[in-house]
Amino acid sequence: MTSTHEFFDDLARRGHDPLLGRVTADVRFDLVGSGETEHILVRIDHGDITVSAEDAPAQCVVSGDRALLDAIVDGGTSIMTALLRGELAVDGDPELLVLTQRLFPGRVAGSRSEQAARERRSP
Amino acid sequence: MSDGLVRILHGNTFVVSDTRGDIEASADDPTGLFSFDTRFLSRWVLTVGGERLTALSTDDLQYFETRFFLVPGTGTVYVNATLTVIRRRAVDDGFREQLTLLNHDGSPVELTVRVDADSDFADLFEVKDAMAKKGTRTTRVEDGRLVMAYERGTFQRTTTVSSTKPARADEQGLEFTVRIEPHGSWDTELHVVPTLLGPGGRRLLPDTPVATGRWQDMEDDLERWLAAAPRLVCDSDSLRATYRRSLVDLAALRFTPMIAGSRSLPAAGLPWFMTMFGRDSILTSLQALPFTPELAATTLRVLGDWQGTRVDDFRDEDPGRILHEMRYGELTAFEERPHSPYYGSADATPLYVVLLDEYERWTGDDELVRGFEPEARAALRWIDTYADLQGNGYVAYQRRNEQTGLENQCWKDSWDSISYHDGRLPGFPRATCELQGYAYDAKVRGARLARQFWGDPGYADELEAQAEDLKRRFNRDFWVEDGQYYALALDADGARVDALSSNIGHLLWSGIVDDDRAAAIADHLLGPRLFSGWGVRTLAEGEARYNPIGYHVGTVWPFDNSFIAWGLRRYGFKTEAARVAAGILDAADYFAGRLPEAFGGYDRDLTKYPVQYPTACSPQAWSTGAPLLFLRTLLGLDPMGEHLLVDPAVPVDIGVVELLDIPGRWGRIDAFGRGLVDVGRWP
Repeated sequence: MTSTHEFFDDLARRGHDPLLGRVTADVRFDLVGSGETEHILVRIDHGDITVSAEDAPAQCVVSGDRALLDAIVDGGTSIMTALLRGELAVDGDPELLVLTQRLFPGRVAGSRSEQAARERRSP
Repeated sequence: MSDGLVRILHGNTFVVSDTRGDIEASADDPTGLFSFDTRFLSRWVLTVGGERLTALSTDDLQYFETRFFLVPGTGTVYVNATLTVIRRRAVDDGFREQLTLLNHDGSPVELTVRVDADSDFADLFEVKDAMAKKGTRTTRVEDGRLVMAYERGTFQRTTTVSSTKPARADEQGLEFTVRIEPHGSWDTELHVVPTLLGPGGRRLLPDTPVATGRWQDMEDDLERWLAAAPRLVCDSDSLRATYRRSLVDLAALRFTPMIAGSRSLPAAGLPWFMTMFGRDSILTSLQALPFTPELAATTLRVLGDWQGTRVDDFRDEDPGRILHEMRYGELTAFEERPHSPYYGSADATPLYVVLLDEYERWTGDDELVRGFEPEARAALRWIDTYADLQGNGYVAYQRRNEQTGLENQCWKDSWDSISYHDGRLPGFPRATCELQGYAYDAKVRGARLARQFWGDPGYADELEAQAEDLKRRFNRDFWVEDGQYYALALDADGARVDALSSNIGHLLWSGIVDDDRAAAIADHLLGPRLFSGWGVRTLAEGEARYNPIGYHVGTVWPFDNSFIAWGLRRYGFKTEAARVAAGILDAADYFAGRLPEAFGGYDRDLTKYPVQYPTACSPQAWSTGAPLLFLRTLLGLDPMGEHLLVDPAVPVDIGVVELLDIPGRWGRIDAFGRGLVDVGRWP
């Protein structure tokens, strides 16, 4: 099981993400590499999320190498920089790409000042 | 331009050339064709008959268009040419250049016309720091076109040069053999197209509307923009000229981020900052709200979409934080710089909530205010959690990216901007005073939004109680009793950083100043240590680091002054607000209506004219917005429910001011003011 699959399985289990409360749209990830292109369709309805392997039309289609998607969900790189480097292609509404990238982790976390801030965070 | 450079721009594409229209960039100078933070053309030199040209005149037709009148030859004492060369250049996604040769002679002429072209594909950051490239450059000729390419792994950028008349293309440029009849002419149009390539050689970005447009479309767009803004009728020629210049420059600085469709927001400034900045885009949107409210809507939308959601030390990102700066160049792409986007700003987040509320007050667009409730709540949460780095309930900053992050994350972001009276620099984290004002204002305004639009009166009560508590603590902890003003900051130990600065003016704007202390603050702002006669200095005379030409330690910033004047009005200091406005608007006259980013803090009695800060960015968005906010302040415009209050306090010298068709929730309304306020005279 790759990081990408784990990530989307986890997303499907959660079923809702408040960060996407404003969003109602379909976003499809096309994973390319050796073998057939794999599709992950994320349907978002006011933050309610369902995930399937359908190759259905979507308002935003993101395609890239499997290893690249793994690196993005592991926080090794970001959607925006991968796009600028020409490693990732986006078709459709780029605003959805920006909203979807909210789901992915960042590059490095956990410095001391951050931990201090986190401890103070109200529950 | 005073520096001998000619600049034209559209969105984030701009061309900087000499007065002949030529570009001969060195590694560290900002001439060339730039787009998406990359230099796509570093050489562009026209020769006719093997000779360079001399400029007779340069006409700035529009912000996106210039015309150069030239004759062949250089260095002659007088010109007796029989040939005129006209270059008419307009920026779109790249640029188009109409090249026309006129033969004034009675005999035909045959000559070679040549344009040399080259590209170094430098990232704007590399131009600033004169760095070397890591990828490979190639040049090829394809069907009479010159294609220059840069490749670093999958990162590909190209510049294509072509012409409407057939040319002989070689790897250094395009060449034409031209024959012109007596009193005849010859012309061609050159196209320079920058391209960002994605996987499989596809274009990375869709065409923007302008890329497919014609010269006329861009002119029509500018006319529409000017026609949609309120009309200013007034006695002062100077103010009218400044107003028009501001509207045109604001149009020029409109920037369409990748995700905004055809909508635009204000970019920060030319040449280094043609991109989205949290702070600059928000403050400029606030200044322009009574004139072009749609800028605020796009700013709120795009900054909201990009709001931080995770903890990322490299980008100084936290959940709820509003971005500082977005870049698209090579160093950003390879994560050698954190601008994808970078979040290291401590003021953009509270200011986001301030803009959201002010936008609704003017426009009545409750849909946006409801739609972005989660973002506003996350921003308010950030203030109390991630921003509280000192653990004392104040907003503070300290970068986590120590290599390429920003040290000072307030608007005064140069290294020496925050100092004690004796010149020492405090450690980190730093809690500058204006940040507390913004946080207070964000809570007060957030409470109004919660009560009126989010159906959450409990949260509103909570925010109001927090705001009240913050104001009480702030007036206790920041007050410098000896000097009767607020400290510039609290240091890492919670001690006062006791310099007297312009930041106290922003505190008036935010409303965090106790009523019984406002007069003391106004006295300082208009007193001899801070007020130069042209405006309020960033740092007061008598502070150890004061320097009238120090970037944030003594210069006068028009944008800073526009918010200070707004603050003075808020506390009822009408005459003082008018004095500040009059000083800066007088200064604008010396810059043909285009206020620079900053000018020297010298006494007005000493210099008689405002001295421009050496490397000031121009046009710069929040300087461009300053005259607009001054107009609002002088006319005392403030929305009250469904109405617009007008309470003018206009300087005598400005005379009668009529601002017609002010857009807002009331539809369109007119405001009138008569110059009755005596602001004093300067010799």
